[in-house]
Amino acid sequence: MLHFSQFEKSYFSHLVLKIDNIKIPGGVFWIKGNNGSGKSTLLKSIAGILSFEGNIAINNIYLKNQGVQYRKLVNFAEAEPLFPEFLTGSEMIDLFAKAKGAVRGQEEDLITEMGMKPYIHHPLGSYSSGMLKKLSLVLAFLGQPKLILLDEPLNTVDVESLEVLYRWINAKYQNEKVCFLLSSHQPLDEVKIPGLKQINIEDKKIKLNF
Amino acid sequence: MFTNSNIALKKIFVDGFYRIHAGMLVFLFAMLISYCLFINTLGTVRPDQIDFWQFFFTISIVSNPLILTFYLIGSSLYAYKSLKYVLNELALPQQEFLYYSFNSSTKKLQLLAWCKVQTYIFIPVLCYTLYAMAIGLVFGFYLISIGILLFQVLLIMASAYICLRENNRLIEANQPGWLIRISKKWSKPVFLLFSFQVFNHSKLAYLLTKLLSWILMSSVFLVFADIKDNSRLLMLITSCTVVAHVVLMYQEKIFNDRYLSFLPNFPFTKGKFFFSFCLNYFVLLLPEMCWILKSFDVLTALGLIAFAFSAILLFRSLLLLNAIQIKGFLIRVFCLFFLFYVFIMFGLGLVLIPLNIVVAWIVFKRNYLNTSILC
Repeated sequence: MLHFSQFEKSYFSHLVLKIDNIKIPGGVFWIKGNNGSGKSTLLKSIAGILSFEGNIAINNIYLKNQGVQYRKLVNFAEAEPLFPEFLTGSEMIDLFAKAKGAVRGQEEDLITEMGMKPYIHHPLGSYSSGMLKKLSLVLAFLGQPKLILLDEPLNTVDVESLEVLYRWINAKYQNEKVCFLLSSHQPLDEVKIPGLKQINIEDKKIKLNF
Repeated sequence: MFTNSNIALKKIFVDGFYRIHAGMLVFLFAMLISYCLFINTLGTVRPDQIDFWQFFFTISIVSNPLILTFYLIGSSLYAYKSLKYVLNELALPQQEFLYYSFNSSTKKLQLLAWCKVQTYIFIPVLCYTLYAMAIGLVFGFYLISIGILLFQVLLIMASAYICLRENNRLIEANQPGWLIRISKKWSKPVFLLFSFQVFNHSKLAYLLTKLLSWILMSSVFLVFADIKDNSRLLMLITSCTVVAHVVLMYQEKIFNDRYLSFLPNFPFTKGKFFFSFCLNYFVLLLPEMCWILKSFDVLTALGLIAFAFSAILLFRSLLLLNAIQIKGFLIRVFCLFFLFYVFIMFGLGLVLIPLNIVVAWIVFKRNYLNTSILC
């Protein structure tokens, strides 16, 4: 599913992560690590946002060789999303839906289930951090990704919305075999996400705990 | 505790102000230096005459009502700019802690701290005022000399009071700007979002940029009557106009990094990323482009516009260099501006169009994601 080859990420010649050659199969993974261990850096690198040495592939489509195709396969939701304040939630969704090639109407169910209908046409400047977080989660599910990266998905999200998120993750994985990488400080509910596997980041390396 | 607050305020507002406005200050500084040291005057001007004119200009501030008025208006604009910066910073989420920490000290201490912040920001203006004041006092212009200083002290105190009031009021939701209200139904392409941001949040920066552009163009028109036949001069004006927009380019970079950090995850080709952001400059440079198209024949106009966009692409690409700050960016821009000047003077202005685009593409490709690794 996800293949790292000679991956190295440094900030100003300070090495943060080094992954020699690892293949991660399909599934739902919880990335665990201390603060500053490189969880967000890893997710942003996989998302094609941060530069790094080496290469990453999803189903043999390599980021550095087939950037456009690769980015169609991977969606990302930031830990603390920040979007232009003058756009509305629906404008943001249109923007992502168009770029990610989402089928018409895909967003409708997502908005309804997350309970965002009452304020989806409001400017993002009026959104609370929780509302922005929910919007970023909706955006991450648009299109036909094969891998969804959620950075701290539990942060600032209310209990009802978390239930919806767990349901979406399970449905996507079971019905469409979409792989998930979730980074979280808080323990993820393994009852709510059956088959949750763990990946640890320790000493600038990742360890597969399954 | 209070000293610590002062340090925090100084770091947030004063250091931030100089960091963001380094462009403007360096630009003024570069203009003054280039004017004083490198300008070729018509005829011979002896060094003592230069000293005389500099002295004459300074003493005019304290003796000539017109120059004095200009100076006071300039000071007021500076105060407005600094106040706007501080208030905008105060409204940012990362500064919200000031609404529940700093404002628990007494109003007197708070006012004192804000006065200090405003005074630090005013240092460049105050230095020149003190210089003019010293000359004014020596030559007996006591009232105006002290009056200028008092006026600026009042400006500082008024700004400090507004900051104090702002920091002690309850935060209200911001009303969206007029453009956002009328454009609610419009589709907003992702590569045009910065233009919306400019018309929503940076109207003053945009107006100042347009004013600078207009001054450059009008002065050349006034000075050179045969401008229509001088293609070199036209290219120089165009490069000046583009340089006048560098502050907006830097603001675009900050906007993209802060609010469009998700963009690299979009399945767009590098070519699309490279060219599409020009849409913003198509909108922002519309007044200048209309003027060029109206004033010159189509071929010349298209050549000038192509040159302007090639320079914009190059300047934008420079911003991708790893961790580039405004100071480094401006130094590079001024170096390139000088290089443009040399090319244009040697009649190689048109060569700059493909050259700029190729260099911009290479820099962009190598630094697309901040470092020269992903390609």
